[in-house]
Amino acid sequence: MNRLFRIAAREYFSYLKTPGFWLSLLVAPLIGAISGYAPTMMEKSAPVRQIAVVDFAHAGAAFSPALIAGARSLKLRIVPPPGDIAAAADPEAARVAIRSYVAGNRFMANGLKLDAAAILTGEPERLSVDLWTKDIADPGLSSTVTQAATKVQRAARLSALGIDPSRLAAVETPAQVREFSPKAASGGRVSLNDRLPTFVALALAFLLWTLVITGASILLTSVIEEKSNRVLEVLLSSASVAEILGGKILGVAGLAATILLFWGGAGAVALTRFAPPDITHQVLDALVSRGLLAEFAVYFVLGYLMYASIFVAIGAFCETPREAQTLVGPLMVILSLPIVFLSQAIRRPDTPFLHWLSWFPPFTPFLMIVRVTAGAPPWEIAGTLALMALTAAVVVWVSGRAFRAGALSTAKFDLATFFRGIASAGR
Amino acid sequence: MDAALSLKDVSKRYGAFQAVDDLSFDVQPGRIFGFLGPNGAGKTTSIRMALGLVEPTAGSISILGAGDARKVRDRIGFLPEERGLYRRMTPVEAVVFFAGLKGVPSGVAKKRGLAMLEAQGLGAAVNKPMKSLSKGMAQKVQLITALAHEPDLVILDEPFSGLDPVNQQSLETLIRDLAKRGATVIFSTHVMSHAERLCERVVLLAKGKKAFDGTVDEARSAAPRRLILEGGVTDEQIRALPGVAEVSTDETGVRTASLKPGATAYDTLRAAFAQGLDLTRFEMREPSLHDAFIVLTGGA
Repeated sequence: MNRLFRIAAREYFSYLKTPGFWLSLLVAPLIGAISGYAPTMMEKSAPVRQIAVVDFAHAGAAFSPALIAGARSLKLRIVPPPGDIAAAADPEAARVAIRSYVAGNRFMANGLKLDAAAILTGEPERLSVDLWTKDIADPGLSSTVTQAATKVQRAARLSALGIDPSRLAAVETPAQVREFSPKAASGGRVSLNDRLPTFVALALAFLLWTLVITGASILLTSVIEEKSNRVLEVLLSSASVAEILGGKILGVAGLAATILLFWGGAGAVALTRFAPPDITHQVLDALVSRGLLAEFAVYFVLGYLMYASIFVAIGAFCETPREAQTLVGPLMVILSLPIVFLSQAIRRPDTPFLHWLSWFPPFTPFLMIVRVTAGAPPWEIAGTLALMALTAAVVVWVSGRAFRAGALSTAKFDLATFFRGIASAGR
Repeated sequence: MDAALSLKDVSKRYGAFQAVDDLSFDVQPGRIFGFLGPNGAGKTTSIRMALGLVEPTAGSISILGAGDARKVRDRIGFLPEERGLYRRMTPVEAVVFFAGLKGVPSGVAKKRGLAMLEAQGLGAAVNKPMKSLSKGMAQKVQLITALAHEPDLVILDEPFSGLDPVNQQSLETLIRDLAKRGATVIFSTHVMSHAERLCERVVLLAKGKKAFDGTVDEARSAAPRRLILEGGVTDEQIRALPGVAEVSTDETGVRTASLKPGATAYDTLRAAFAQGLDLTRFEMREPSLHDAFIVLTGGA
């Protein structure tokens, strides 16, 4: 046992000392913060877009306010069209004039660029808009213009039918729908409190997947390094395969726990600082009282054990990451599949296909942590857990043999060598 | 006294390849034992079987009184043929880590490691990462990691390869010191001069089979004695002398007569002088372990 802990400590501290570990520790919260704030920051820092409305449909008086009202986060300013555009006799002449302004070849009287122009043609009841814009890839402005034009056209058509458009808002008020479910905590009305655990579980599933992949990849690199540095043979003469495997897996699990603590701490700080107190309380309630943290721990231990053992066994046969890639590549594709099905696991947890996938041990930890909160039956939870534990035990045993065979093998890595090594280890 | 290592009818087969074939020998405690053979003879496989790293296909092994080396691994020091340590570790960290795996407390291992590193001339490098050390220095560090727990049995697989003559000399001294301390030292090599200087007993392996097991003197006697002759004589004249089995001549005209087993150089020379052969120089050359190696392995 002493040897196992020594190997674990070496594994843990050797990675803790590397700059790469600290970078990976900081990157996730940084990306989270950036992706949370980046759109707002970009919008805030973006210049106000100048748009001119050229009205050949006599709808400009209604269109412009509708456009500004619908712009919301888009920073729009409606400016009077430059003289030559305003003086255009028909839409075609306006188009010709607008083109050079929007292309940036000409400027408005105040020296500013014209970013976009909307040419209204037809009549208010059959409104047609040609939108000229320099931001070809941004669908936001087009969508806002469409909504404003539709609003103007709808009002005109209602007026033609003798209906007061001002009463439209009252007519269009959505009906009140209340959602009830016997699974709700209240026993009836569904609240955010009932949905939050599912979202927290989804976040935990992603976190679980990230930690398992990170841990297994660290182990793979570590074993490849030991194999190529010829350290494995000395290790094998000093400790048992179980102690080496156990120590390495435990050491990297410690790293994963460190990452988890850091990210969890960062998440807790963000939650208490930026989220409303009741949301913070509900998240904590989901994590602790509803047992999500305990489920996470169980699924992490079994999932990590399974993947870590496989990666260690592969690493023992490889002297370079390129050699490992032949087997790790397909494995990573398989490992990515549960992520595709996670959103489905929230929306339709009772889909038979998801039930079957949950029984496939490599997918169990990621899918079941979400399905448990969505109300998976206890027998299924127990059954998938048992199957996963059994699979993890078999994988650890097979990996132990593979590790022993691979550590002393000098043969070039291929699948045949790998499986022959597993079969012959110990003989 | 029980043997420190005993192999009985041990074989190892990898598929169709017979790496070791029916190997038996004993190593008495406190001795320096040479495990000799050409490249690919099965030395490393035998060592790995002795250490419990590889299971034999047949036969039994006893090491320090145990049937399984893993039960006595803390009493064994091992230097593998393919050497390497963690590149980012310092020498002193490496010694503490590997000695720790053998049950030595960190404080003791550090103290002992520092002293051994200093004694091997590595005092200035104790806190430098392994990757910054020269190959020779790294090899010395690895040897120290194999010895810092003061093992009863030291197994060194090709310990002299890669070392310069000065370090080879220093390693020979270290091996003698280990034996003086009471440790059993087994080392494999295909360079006979080291075995000749150090070993009391050797086992010679060729193509997986034991070709010889005995003392160095016994091994030498397996090779013919040689008589170097210079002067105005022909091969035929020398071949006709009593005790001569074979004659060869080098490019400078010096003739070497290989003597038959049991023949003495004295009888051959006396006959040459009695016949009045024109000899300007003669020299009797005892066979070396290298000569025995060539004979016993059939030049393998």
